[in-house]
Amino acid sequence: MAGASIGLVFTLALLYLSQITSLSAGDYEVQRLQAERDELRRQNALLEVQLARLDSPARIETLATRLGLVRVASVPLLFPAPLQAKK
Amino acid sequence: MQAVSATRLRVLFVIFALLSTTLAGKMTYWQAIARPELLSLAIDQVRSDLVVAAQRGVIRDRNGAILATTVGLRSLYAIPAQIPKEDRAAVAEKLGVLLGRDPAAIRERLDSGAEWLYLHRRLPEDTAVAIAALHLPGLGFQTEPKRLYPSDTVGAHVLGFVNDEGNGQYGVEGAYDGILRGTPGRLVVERDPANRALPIGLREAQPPVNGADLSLTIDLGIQTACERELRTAIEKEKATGGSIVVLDPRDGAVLALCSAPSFDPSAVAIADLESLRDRAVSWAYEPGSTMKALTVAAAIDQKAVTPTTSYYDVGYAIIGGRRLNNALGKAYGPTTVTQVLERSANAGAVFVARKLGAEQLYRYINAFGLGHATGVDLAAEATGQVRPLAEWYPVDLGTAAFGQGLSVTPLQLAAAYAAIANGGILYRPYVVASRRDADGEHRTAPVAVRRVISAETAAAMRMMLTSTVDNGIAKNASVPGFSIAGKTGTAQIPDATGSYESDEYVSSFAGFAPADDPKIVTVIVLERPQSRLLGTLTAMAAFRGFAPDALRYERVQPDRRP
Repeated sequence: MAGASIGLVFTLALLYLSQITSLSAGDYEVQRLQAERDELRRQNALLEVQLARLDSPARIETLATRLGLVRVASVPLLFPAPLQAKK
Repeated sequence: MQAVSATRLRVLFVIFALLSTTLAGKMTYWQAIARPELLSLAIDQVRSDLVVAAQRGVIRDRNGAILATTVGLRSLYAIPAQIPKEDRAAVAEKLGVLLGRDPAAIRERLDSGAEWLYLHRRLPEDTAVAIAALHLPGLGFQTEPKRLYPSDTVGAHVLGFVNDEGNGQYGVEGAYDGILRGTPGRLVVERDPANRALPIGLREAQPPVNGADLSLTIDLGIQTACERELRTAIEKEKATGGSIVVLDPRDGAVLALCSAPSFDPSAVAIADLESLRDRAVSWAYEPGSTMKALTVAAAIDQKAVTPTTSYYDVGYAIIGGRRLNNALGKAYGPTTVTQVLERSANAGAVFVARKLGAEQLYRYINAFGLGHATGVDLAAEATGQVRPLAEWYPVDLGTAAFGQGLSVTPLQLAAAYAAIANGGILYRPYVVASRRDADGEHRTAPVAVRRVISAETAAAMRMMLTSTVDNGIAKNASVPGFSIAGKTGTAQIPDATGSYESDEYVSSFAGFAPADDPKIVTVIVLERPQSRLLGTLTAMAAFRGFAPDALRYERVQPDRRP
């Protein structure tokens, strides 16, 4: 009887320890994943800034000027003929 | 022999008793009296109590382009004790190449005796990656927030900047600082030697509330075009400053707002203080002849004159015992009110003002919003100056009619012209179109301040100002394919003595397009252009430069065959 009780207590303690260990490992993994997520978010924000820089009209205009492109002097406008009502 | 042993035993007993008593006393002291202090020291070794910074909100233009955002950049730190002395020269050499700094200065810092120090804060990501790849001992990175402006100096005055303490200043960053900055949180945890939070331990977390994101009414394309033209005009005229405002007359939304000299919001520490001043909002000048449109609008609205009412122009007008001349002393002979605008005749403006009367002119000046802050949602708005009617001398009726003796900001004048353009309603200009926070998107409702003139008066004014561009003094503002309405202005600059500076002017152009159904209203101002009285030509050239871009960005269909 006493042996069985000791065995039960030992088993329960083992179970508890294994739960705690598993919980700790899981929490450390969560922390690692959170840090990874934060770093990916940071990288994403940096890429968004880079995209905005590349898309900036001022930058594109500067590059165009460097390439020797000039602004068109006048833009020809085409006006459609008035729509005729079909009989 | 036994007596000696008994004595020894007694001595030993006493010694043990004393030691035990001392130990028990010490234990009691540690456990009972010094317990809180020792416990606190022990907890401090493992507990970290951190302020978790809130993410500052992103600012975007009306099409979603990022204008300002906060990103974590890596700062390089060193723990010199972990870098062997014989390796420090090599470490400094490698860092010097990547950081673009003098290796000797880096070496000096490593040898300074500090336990921990920053070597370079907020590194460009490429540089941080390159340094990390070297795997140098005793170096590490810590992420710190940095406000970035991807379009560099474009829109600097609208945006403002964030100072080293994280406070928004000037522009939207200043006016909306409380909304953008959010509320920091707090995290209390126990950490292991690897600085990881202990899974089963103390954990108190109060998450931060991030700042709201703002979408502006600014169009990055129009803003860029305006800044390009303003830069060109200022370089050509060697002007001391200038500004361009572009509004949507239908609701007062600010599409572009630029000011020169400008600054880089990422490098405010090296900026000239004067460059921080937003000349579109925080600077007032005498509007000169651009004011004539408001005088004529008031007189037509009061039915004091019509566009065809005429007078005989002799080149000057005498009012309050003072003679007020036309520019260059020109006499035009028979002149209609429409031609007063086309020719920008000062004597004609005085004629119209006399018909209207000082009380009514003063009332309309105020109704158009001059002398009062527009209420735009930007920091540090100036009100301009309109003296109270009680302080007017008789001559002031004449001078106010053509824009002398009162001052306006470019934004005020743009809002007043927008009232003419939209059919008579003065709108409060605004820059933030919406904010997005945890509760969703909150759009800004345009504010119609008041009706200033009737729709009929506004229509008549649009026709007269169109004629000013088609047939009159503002001919150089015409844009192929579009009807343009507008008026030029050349104003003298008051000095500290109450007189005017000799041969120094402020040149401007105020107008809108397309004239029949306006989608943009603009005011362009150049301060002290070198071409003096011809500065308005450069102002109109600037308008001609950006207006086609602005109308294209606004998807406005051409309304005239070139």
